[in-house]
Amino acid sequence: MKSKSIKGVTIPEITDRFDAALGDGFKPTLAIVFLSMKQDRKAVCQLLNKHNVAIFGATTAGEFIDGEIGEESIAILLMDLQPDYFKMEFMETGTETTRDIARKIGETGVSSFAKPAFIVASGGISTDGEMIVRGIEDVVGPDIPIFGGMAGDDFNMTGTYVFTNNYDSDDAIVALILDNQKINVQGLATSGWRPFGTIRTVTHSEGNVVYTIDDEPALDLIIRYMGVSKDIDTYKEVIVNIGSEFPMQIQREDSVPILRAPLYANQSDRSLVCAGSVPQGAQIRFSLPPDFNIIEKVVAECNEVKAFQPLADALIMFSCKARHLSLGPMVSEEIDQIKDVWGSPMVGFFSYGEFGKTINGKHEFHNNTCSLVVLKEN
Amino acid sequence: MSGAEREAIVKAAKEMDKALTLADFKLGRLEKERHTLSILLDETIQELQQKTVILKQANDNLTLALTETKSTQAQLIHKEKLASLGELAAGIAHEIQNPLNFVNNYSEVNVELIQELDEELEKGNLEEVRAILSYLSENEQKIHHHGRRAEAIVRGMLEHARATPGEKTPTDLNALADEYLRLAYHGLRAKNPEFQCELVTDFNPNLGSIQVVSSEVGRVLLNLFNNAFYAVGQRAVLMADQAYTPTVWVSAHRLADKVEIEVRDNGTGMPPEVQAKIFQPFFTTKPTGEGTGLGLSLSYDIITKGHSGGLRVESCVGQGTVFTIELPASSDSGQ
Repeated sequence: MKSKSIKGVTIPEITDRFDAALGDGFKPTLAIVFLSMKQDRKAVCQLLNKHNVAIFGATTAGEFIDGEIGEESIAILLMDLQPDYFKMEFMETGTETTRDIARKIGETGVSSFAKPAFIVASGGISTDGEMIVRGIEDVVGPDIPIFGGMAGDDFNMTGTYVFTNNYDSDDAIVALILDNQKINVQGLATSGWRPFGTIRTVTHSEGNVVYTIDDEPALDLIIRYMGVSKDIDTYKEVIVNIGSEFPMQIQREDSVPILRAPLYANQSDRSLVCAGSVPQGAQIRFSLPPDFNIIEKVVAECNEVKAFQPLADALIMFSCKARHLSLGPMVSEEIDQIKDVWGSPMVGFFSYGEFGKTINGKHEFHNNTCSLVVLKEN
Repeated sequence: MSGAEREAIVKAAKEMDKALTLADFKLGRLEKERHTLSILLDETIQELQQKTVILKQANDNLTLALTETKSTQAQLIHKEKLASLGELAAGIAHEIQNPLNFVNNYSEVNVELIQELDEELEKGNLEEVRAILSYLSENEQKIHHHGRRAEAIVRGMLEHARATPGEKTPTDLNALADEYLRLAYHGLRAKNPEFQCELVTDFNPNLGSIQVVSSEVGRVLLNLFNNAFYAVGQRAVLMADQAYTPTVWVSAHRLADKVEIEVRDNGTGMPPEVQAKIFQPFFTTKPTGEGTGLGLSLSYDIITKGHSGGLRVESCVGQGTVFTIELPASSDSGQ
């Protein structure tokens, strides 16, 4: 499988680069498209439709094909994968639950391939990403690869979209189901956030909404750590930043803690809406951002993956927006160095939640994590 | 400046700018982290202080509760001793009655002998006087002997009720077991004259004397005897119209390094779930008011903790129960 990545800030620019990519006879069949809310999704789809390229698309909070991070731009990874090696599913939630439609995606997977692998993106700002993993797992079991990310919206927190050739929705899941017997799918989810402070208990929560921690309103607690005044006018900024500042690490008995980041806060009841479920009674610790040497650690972990997947046809990265905020200019360095491990074309975006596996863990829904997917045709 | 030089300078400036941006970012983030950590540290210290106060309070409460528990426990043990003394009282009365009868009888005889002595003196019959004096002396020795016997019983009773345990002394366990068996039996018979039980003893004469606190081991034996009598009494009621001879066997054996005292009865016996609990404090199968539920638990402590021995039970419903006391013979000073 051959792949090429292109980027641009305008439709003509993307059109030019797309045409240039086709210059050497390259005939892409599949495009991973990550773009800003500001971009004309329809125009991009029309361009790709003309060439019969299947689209796996998501809006972002920043997109990239290398260390130069675009803002309000378009990043596309083009692949000439055989059409019978993959299947594109687009499911709107509608009146069903997230878990229900995730199950349907799982069913499509098992009916299409003996060994499916899933790359998913989800639109919808308050969708509980964990339910997507659970739903797919309900059908395929826990050992099937699931990678992906929750779409972004340039950090406005108003609505995130996923799209495919003729569909576009802020309440849907787009899934690229790969034939895992033809395409090897490896990956790695890595975070680096350091737990701090004492273990606290989530005293009231429902799904992905945390109301109280140690009987104190969750928002008040976080605001206290941030050391900002509780003046209502400052809330907006606070709310936008909470996810990047203090993700919670849910303690688990038999495996490493899982990160849950608050996405935004409800001012009325001072609750936090997180990017994944936080069970009531869960023991949590807050986290500090990764150390400055995080990049070396991530690259070392990538090299571990490289040991059993030495070559890659393409790389896809789902990196948390909070990670971008906390690593700042260092994140460019991180992307470049990860890309250099395999030296393959890459596309990625800053997401609101990531699907993937930690080096010794299983596939799960994470927050504040960088989830890398390594694709190689057998 | 050549084009190449200019390019190099521009490149260096760009790299410098990049490094500055990175340094600036890192500084900003460190400042933020420092802020958060200082809040966290404050909070942690406060939490620690609060927890220290709570812990101290909890510790005080526990200490108080422990003191109260200890004092309650001491009171309970004393109560149990008094309760067993109550059980003993009738037996003791019976036991004291014997020497008292002797004392009374001999002193009455002596009064008569003194009258006779007086008469023989009048007659000047010195031969007779000497003979009477000899009787008098013998009788006085008997009075003294039985007086001492009564005294020993009373001393034993006082010993039994003492709040603090006494010293370990070389003790003839055969005699101790025999004495307490009789005390228990007569005590029960005094309360309930209907009660009948065959007593079978098998005391090994080569037992030797063993270092024990005799009053404590006596209490254990009394407890086991009373339980055995209770069990055979219960069975007698159940088997009212059938042939049944309530029997309690007491035997003492010498093994290589220990002495075993076995108290066996052919009473009601106990199911395993009762056997599992009998050494727990306050567990009793007797009706309310009849047992404190402390007897066996204290007995267990006396034998295991006080004498480094063992107390075990075997029982079968409808057949009977065997309690076995094991006492180490290592501390034995006898023979």
